[in-house]
Amino acid sequence: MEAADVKVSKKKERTLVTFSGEMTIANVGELRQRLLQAFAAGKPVEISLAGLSGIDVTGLQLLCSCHRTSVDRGIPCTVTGRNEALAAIAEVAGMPRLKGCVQDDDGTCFWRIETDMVTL
Amino acid sequence: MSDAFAQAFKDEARELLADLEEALLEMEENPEDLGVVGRVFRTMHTIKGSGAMFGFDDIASFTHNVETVYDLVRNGELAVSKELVNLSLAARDRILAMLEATESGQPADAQRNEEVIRGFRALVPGPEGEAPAPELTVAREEADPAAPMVTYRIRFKPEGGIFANGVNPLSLLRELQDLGPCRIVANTCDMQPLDALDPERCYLYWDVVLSTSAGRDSIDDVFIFVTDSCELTVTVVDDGTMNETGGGYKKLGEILIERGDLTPQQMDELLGKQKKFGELALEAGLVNAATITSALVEQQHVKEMRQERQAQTQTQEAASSIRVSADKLDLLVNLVGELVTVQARLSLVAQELKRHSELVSVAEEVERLTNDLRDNALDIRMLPIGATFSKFKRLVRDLSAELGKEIELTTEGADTELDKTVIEKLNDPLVHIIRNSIDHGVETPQERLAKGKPRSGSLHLAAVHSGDSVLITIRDDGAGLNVDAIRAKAIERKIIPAGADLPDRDIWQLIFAPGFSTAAKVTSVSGRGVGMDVVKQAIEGLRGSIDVKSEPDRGTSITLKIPLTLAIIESLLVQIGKDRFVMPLAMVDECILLTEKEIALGHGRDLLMVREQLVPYVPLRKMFRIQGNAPAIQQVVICQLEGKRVGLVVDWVIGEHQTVIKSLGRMYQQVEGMSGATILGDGSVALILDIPAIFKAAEGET
Repeated sequence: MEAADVKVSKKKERTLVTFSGEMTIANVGELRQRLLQAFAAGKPVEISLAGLSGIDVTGLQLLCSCHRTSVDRGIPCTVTGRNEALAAIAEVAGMPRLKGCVQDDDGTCFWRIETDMVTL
Repeated sequence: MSDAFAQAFKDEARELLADLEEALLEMEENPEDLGVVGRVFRTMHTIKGSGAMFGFDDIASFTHNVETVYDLVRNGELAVSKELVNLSLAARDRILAMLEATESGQPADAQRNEEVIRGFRALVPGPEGEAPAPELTVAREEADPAAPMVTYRIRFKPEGGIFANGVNPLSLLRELQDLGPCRIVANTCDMQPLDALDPERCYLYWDVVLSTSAGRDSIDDVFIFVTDSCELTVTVVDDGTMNETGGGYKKLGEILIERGDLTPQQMDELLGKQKKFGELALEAGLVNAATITSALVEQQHVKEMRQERQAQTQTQEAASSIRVSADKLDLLVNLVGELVTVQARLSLVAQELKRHSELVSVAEEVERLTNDLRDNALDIRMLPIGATFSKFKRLVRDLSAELGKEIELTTEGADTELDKTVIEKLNDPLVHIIRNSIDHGVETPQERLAKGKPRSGSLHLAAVHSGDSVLITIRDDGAGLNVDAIRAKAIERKIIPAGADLPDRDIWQLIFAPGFSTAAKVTSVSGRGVGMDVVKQAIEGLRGSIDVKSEPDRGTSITLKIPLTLAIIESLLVQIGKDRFVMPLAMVDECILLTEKEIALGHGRDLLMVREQLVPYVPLRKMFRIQGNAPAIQQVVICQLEGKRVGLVVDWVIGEHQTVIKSLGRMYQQVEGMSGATILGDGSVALILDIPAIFKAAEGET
């Protein structure tokens, strides 16, 4: 398994979280801690998945949980750098949907179809 | 169990076994081709599965052992070897034997089954060499395209701790996708924000709508290892029988109630508000968006499946085929034959009563329809010769192995169609010819190398249409016919006089003499001198002919010319005195007049000048000793016979005739010159002339 790496860099306007390697049950615990740190800064969070090579259900859950956190705390959160491999996995897991969950008041769900965030 | 089902299984199994044999031989040629291995595996699997289903437990358990080995081959754990192919072919023969045993009531030889199984077990490496005890439940059915597509709703709700057991829900979902068109919606309503999240717990659950023809069991198989650690509900939502026009769709609310996401009371309450139901349910907070999405997806999925099914229905109907017993077809062709005879009579009557124009037009209409019906009925009996060809692959393989020769069989024109009975009757002669080619024709690898030929010999089987006949050629690149040996043998057996100077062409024909063999030793394959004369008889029985060509050290080529069908032929009706005869139109070249002056020009010999060519003729009136005098002007029907033009003299040529061939009774079968009889429109009988035999007899007289 490729060594996973996560970097939290604090920018002026936002907090950038860059993932590389695999996001799986082996490292989601650690990743959760880093993401909590990122949200703690109070600035908009950008999650960059460009370097991500693999993901499992726990990883997908983690992303979903980020969105919950963002809605709960009122901190905008975006996902960038999506790639086709991830989109294919999300598709198998049945993540893409037309309408977000109950908490998704402002339509920022990562999995929504027909927004620019459509295809994870 | 009904006999009809058992019979259906037997029929199917026979076809599968034929297919299996072909696949095995192909596998031997391309051991690296996993596609063929897959084909072998699937065929074994199907035989096992349907065998178990119809109560052929011995076949199922036997095949199970073979399948186990092939599973290893398929996964690349075992290589395809000569031994494996040999064993598999033996296994195929055992399955066939067991199948036949159920018919004859004689139990199949269990010891030989055991031997084959032991051979297979020996192939499996490692301590697990023993194949697991026969288990009749079929693990996973391959999606059978013939079974109807049934749509299921599956709710898969794993326990929170499922990841700790090493279960990956993604792979389960992928397996579901492999079963058929599938829509998956993950339900995220239990998701927690990061601070409350246990990242190693499963919060998601899935609603899956799956259409598959593989059956409920294959869905359960996907979840077989997680049944204890998840909530699983599988419901049929569309059983595959309704199409777009039949029956309505379930309303969204109905789907939610069925799934237990909503109670009927809640739905009634909401319906009272008369808003869009999805919105209402959402606003009321009774269900969340994901639940709605997944329900909508299900609705859409079922709709699409039904639409697709409807679109396919028509094409499927056009392409589908039914199994009809050969007896029924024979009966049909017989009836059509009778109809053709009656129609000929009707046309004759209509001709005589020309005043009734109404009758004439009806008669013409009936004639047209009868012709179409005849062509169609005969066409139904047409089969491609390919099935026969593939049987020979096995024959060539086994024989060449037995004789230590290397022979490659190539075929051509496998899709050439021939009447079913013709194909059946061709089988034995072809086997004889191929055996002879392998035994006497193709040399051993050492001999071939010494002659500077490639190590492995080739045998080519080709079929091609030629007019109303099919030419079947069996060509080898062996030693060729030994003309001197044949001549010496023929002189020894007094078939030809000593010192007779015959052209090679005639010498070659001698191999068809009864009991003729030049082989120094008798092998199990051939050399007993039985065979080629049987071939000749069989081919002549089919109204066909044999042509032999041979070149020393280049090989021998035997060409069989076989008529397409035996039942009905186009022929020429002729009359001599009061008797009428028919001759196959395919052999007839032209008809010309024969005056007394022309007869005189022959100076007592039966020769006629046609466009500056001498054509020998046979006066049939004389030959058949028909009483009375010939008319002043007779007619000569000129026929093609083995590339030569020869004439038959008759009183009148009446015209073309559709001849339904009836075989002559047993008492008349030895009569030379007649190959059958037919019934004419007026009910009288006309004999069918066997033109080659007539000329042979005429040659013998002079």
